[in-house]
Amino acid sequence: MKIKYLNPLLVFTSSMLFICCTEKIENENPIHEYARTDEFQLEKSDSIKFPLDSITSDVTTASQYNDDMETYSFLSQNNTICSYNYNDKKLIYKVDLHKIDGGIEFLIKNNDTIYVYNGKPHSISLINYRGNVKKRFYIKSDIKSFPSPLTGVAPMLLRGDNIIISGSLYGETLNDNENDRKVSYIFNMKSNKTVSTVPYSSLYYSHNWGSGLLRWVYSTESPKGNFMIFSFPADHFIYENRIGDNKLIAHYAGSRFIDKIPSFNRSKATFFKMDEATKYFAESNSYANILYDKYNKVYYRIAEQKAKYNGMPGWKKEISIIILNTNFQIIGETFIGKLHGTNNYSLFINKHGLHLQSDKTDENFMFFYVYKLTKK
Amino acid sequence: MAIVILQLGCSTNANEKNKFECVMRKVFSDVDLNNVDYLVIIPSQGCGGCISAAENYYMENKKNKKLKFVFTNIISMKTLKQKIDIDIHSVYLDKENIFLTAYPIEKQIYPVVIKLRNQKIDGVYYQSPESEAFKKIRNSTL
Repeated sequence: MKIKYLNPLLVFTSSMLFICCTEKIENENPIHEYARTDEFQLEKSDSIKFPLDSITSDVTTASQYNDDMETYSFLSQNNTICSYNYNDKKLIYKVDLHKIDGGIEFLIKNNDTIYVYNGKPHSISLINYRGNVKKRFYIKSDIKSFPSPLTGVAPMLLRGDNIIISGSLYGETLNDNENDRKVSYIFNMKSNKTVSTVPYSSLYYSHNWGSGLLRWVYSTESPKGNFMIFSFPADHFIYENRIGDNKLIAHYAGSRFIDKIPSFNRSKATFFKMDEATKYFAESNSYANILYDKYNKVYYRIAEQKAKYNGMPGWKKEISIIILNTNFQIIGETFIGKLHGTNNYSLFINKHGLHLQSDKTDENFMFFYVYKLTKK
Repeated sequence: MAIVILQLGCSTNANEKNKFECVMRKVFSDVDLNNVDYLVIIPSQGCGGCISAAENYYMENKKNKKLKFVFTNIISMKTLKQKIDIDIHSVYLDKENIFLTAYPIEKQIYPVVIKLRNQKIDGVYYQSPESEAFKKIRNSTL
């Protein structure tokens, strides 16, 4: 090929590459009015507090409410699970996780059956409330890229001999595809086999979402039993997924407080600095937890409104909670405001209502506001 | 004159080095900084790996009299006390986030190493995924 044609060709192909990988999407909220009624709301009805001992702070990254035992448990910053009786708010026990080098998330079935996930190495330990290790499973990925939860925002699920773990995949890669990068896997404790499942929603494969916080994966179990629900921070839709299947069934679940969630205007190939990523996330609208309230047969989805980033202390997003019925119709949305910085990890539901961690700064207690679902 | 210089250093338009100099002077006396080679500022919230590296560096060097450590943007005093054994001779707990005000806003997620020479700031180095300040101190290349 003659040199005179080569240069324009190179410019053309490199421009195409640049355009295809830097295209920004505004990701406007379609606001499906027809799918939205305003019949229900969340009303603050009470506040509760769990007393903390001298070494435990109100900062957590994973928690669980156990309906059978009526206990609230959370992972403390000193590698223990603190378990409280909900009714009298007294500490029942602390499970020391040092024997298994700590944990990232946990699932308490009963006092003798506690599953703890540890990311280094990928392992699940079966322990009892005394912290004694009964069994430890080491998990091997069956695909190229493996989700590793950093927190408990996508709670572990137990289905027979299977444990389902979901987590986020950090970083933006040019060759992102649904087969190589999945956000969930099923680990069979009898066969020690892993099956990776559930891709990100399609939005994530085509655009740059800042490598980190807008790639978090939130999930909950569905009342259908063999289904899970996923909420991705940049997506106005939530997704129903049959456990073990890769198909995502989209349901609109956008907030009336969110107009759009623009992607980052840069190629996925460019290294994203952490300070840029933090600012981008703080100044972007986003969605967070999805929870199922079995007492009222509704889902709650947290919507986070963009904040002004003026440095690390102080920036916090105000939230609202979208209420959906089991047919995924939006039946209300309640503005809540600012909460504790670890609310996404500590919030829980029981028969008394939705518990959101209050932003009170007293390290001697873990405070919660209790919200009840009421008809307007 | 000294007051004027201090005030200029503390203004929002001052450069990074002057801002750190200003807050350092507000907190530490000449006696405190005597024979100190490095001031290490560690925020509690931000780049997790960078902060862990800084906390590990503190645990290894807290008895070294040539170093002073400042913990800032403290989310939980209980957690901090659990994570690190606070040495009262080498640590300043910045409960008011004074040191954080000297940072450029976007850098507040990173620990910073301030190199001192004759009690004056000689250089400001961040520990970030792109720059390993603690490795440089260990290799004496700062």
